[in-house]
Amino acid sequence: MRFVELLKRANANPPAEESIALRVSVFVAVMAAALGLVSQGAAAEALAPAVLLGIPAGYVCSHMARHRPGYLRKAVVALLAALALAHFFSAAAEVGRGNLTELRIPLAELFLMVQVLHSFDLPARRDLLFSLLSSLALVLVGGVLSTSPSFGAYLAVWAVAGVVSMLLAHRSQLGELPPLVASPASSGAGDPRSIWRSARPVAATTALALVTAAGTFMVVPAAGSPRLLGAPATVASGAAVPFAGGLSNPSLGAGDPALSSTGRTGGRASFGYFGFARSLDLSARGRPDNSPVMRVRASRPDFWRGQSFDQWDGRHWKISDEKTAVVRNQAPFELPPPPEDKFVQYLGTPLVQTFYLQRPQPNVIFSAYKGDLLFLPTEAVFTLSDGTVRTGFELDAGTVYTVVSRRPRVTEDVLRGAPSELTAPPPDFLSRYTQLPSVPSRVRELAAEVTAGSPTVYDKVRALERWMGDNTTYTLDIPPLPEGADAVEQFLFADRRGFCEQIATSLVVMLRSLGIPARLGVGYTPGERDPFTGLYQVRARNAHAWAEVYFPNVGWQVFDPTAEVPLAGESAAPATAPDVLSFLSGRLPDIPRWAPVATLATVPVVLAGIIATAAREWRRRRRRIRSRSWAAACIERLEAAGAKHGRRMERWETMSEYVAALSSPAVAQPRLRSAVAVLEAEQFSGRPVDEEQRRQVERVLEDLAAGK
Amino acid sequence: MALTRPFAVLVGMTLAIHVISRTTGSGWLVVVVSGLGAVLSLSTFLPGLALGGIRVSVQAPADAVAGRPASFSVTAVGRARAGKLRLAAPSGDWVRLDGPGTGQLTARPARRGIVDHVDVELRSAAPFGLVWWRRRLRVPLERPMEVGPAPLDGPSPPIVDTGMDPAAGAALAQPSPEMVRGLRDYVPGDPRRLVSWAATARHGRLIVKDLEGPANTQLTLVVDLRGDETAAEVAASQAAGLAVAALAQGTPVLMATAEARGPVLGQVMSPLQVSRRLARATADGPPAVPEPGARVQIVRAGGR
Repeated sequence: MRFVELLKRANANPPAEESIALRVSVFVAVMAAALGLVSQGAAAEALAPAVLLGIPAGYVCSHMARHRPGYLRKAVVALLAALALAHFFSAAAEVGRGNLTELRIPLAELFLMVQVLHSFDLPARRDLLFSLLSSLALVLVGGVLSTSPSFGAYLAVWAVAGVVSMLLAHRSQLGELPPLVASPASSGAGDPRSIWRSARPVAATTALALVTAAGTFMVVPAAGSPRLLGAPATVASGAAVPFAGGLSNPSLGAGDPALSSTGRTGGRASFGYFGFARSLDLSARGRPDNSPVMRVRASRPDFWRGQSFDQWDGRHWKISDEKTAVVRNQAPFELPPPPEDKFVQYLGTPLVQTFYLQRPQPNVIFSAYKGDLLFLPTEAVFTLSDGTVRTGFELDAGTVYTVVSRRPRVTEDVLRGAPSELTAPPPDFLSRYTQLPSVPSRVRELAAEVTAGSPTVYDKVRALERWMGDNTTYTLDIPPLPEGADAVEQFLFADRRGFCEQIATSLVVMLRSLGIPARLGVGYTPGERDPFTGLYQVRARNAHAWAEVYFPNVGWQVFDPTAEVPLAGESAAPATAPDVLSFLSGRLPDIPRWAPVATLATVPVVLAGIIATAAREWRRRRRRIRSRSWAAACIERLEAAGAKHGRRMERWETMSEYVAALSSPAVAQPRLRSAVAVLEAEQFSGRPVDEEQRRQVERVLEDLAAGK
Repeated sequence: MALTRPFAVLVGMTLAIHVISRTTGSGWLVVVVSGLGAVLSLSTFLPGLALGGIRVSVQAPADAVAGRPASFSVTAVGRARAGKLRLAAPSGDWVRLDGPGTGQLTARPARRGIVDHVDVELRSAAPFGLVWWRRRLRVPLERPMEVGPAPLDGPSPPIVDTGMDPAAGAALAQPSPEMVRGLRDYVPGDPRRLVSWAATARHGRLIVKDLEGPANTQLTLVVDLRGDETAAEVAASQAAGLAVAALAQGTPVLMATAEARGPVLGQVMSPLQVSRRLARATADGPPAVPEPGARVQIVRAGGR
């Protein structure tokens, strides 16, 4: 019995919270957090209705039973919470096994269950604030799981409701104290002016908090690099590729490399890129559309490389060595380096990238070059000698995989200092990567001429890039490649217009003509970084081709005159402010050319206007406050004293009318009238009244207040 | 500035979420960290701004008694919203500030004396209640408040008869106004001044006034507050108790005290006057010396 008494004492109800506004705002915040988490697929299907119905029901019950002792309710909630914890441990035991990421879903479910249960026991303000705080845990898990901008809507509702809740909680806390000034009689609960008076500071504070948060967001560091605490990886469906180790790209329709063996037909999808095939035809025209194809979580931008081509015939790129090595049954897969990478001396920090596929992709693993570890729940993957990784199944939308790459941290100086030749190159290395068909002599001559003054390989590459930047134009609108024409010669000497395939191929061919090992890489450019999700949104139009140049001791380096992707040693973590500006500017309609100048010219004028207005308002307020100080205080005292005598001052009444209507045995009408005359003189005549008059007014007010 | 426990919890969670955002790469968590950072920043600085914009004036009652509640009229103007206020010296209870206005606050002056200012304490944690800022204002009173001692019942000090010359003493002792108890028939020997001529005329025979007993003798109360401070307060309370009791019995009281302007000897006619005289009484010097022959009661703070 003593134990029960102790338990009762420990769980005695604190003072019940009566503010319905606070209860509602906390409820909105909690619901937004819970639904945001559910919307990220963090809960089993059965949990969604429990959240949708359980939390509202819990809040209603808590409000209804706030004055009743809740020992039984607390006991039931505690028991169910213990069951939820047991469920979590059992789920964790099943999924854990070295990958913490898989714990996120059971953890999210546990948080949701506890939130639902807790909503049934919220009698006091303290409980409501705890519920609000625990909703932060839901937001936290939801934010980690979210890869979509849609989470922002839930987050916005949660943030606003949270701010309002904290504000109302503080008001409720202060409401326990008696007021200094007794509130005047309400003009009615539904009076819009009264509602606005109450809502205005709440709205102002909420707006101020949001503006401050936006400003803070612009200066805080962007989300960091994912660590290997967890490596998300899921296979969506994954029909097997017809030929193990072969390439499949259904989005190419009839151009699917796996088509011949499956007999599959069909048109090319609008997002299909012809470079993700066994050969790349430079006479092909047209580009993929704007469809989102994948999101990439990574701390730094990079080329998301799929594969490379090494054999050039004047019009097509091909893969000379398609022999695959099987990497089996490992978690994660350790991807073997190409033979030439054994000479690499610069080891960089790992770059963790998680790819969330939104459209079917070729069965190629994209990653920053060069991937070391691959997290993918499958039995085996296939690697090619150039570092390309293929899966044994098609990669459908919904597939998630994580790759850890190790980029040599190189800078311009490192590349300039690299030796010009490999001391002991792997067999066939040079012949493979300097292979050329009969290249027109003027192409070779141009390469030699442009790089004549360049002492190092790096300088040669940069010289060729500069020449192309000065003498060619990037455009998607180029004429067809004439029959029998060499694509590079046509681009460099006839069209001088082209897109990434023409530009990168020309760079590779000219470098090869100088004896520098190079190849054509294909994949995606980094895409646009969403500062809110922290993910790079890669679209089909980001499909790209670039030149990869081999530097002894350093390895393969990407060069691309058309895409601005920094060297690994020079790239910095993205900053939030530029990301946000770039993100927003990409969503604004086209701005006329004069707009920035006009804006720049207008800003100082507007700022000056704002400052002048603020200063004038400030001076006016000061004047008003100064003149208010004594007279206004006296008028307020007069009103308060009058109210004690049963007569409040109406809004339309002048002071004289008011005191004429006052009947007090304490102060005769002539004294009241003379006091009002003094107050009116002080307020409106512009001449200060003397001390004696002040004292008279004070005495009248004291007598009136005392009711003598 | 006082940080609350929820503030510390939020700071901890903000740091934790920041670390998680750095390790998971989640941009949404950066948004959450920014929001929490904004709330914490506003919580830290806005209360200070709010308190800085509040001006307070106080009207005190003219008289008060030490240790007993007195009502003060407090006016707060400016940004007097979402905070709380109390009189700190003399000490009172908290009230909340909902906006500019005037209200009555109760406080108990701790000590006897002339109070020319009060201390007002303002606190604000607006808007979120996470960090409390405190501001203490010394507000001068337009009219000083005289705080008298609480009259103390207790054993009276012995009455000292300073009479050197009975005749002089009798002269000093002013007779109190005559109180007529009733009328009776004249008996030989009655003083002529007791004849009530009006009653005599009405009744047709000599009627005289029958007076109350002899008039009370005036009491001179010498209040010497020099000595220990606490003992001085007790002595003042004791003097107040004696004076009030004497006045209640109809005994005229002459009070000898020391004030800032020097020794004062004067008659007190009411408990209020007693309170005021004792409020002004100081321990800075010796009290006024009563006239020789007075019926004196001495109340001392020290043992001298």
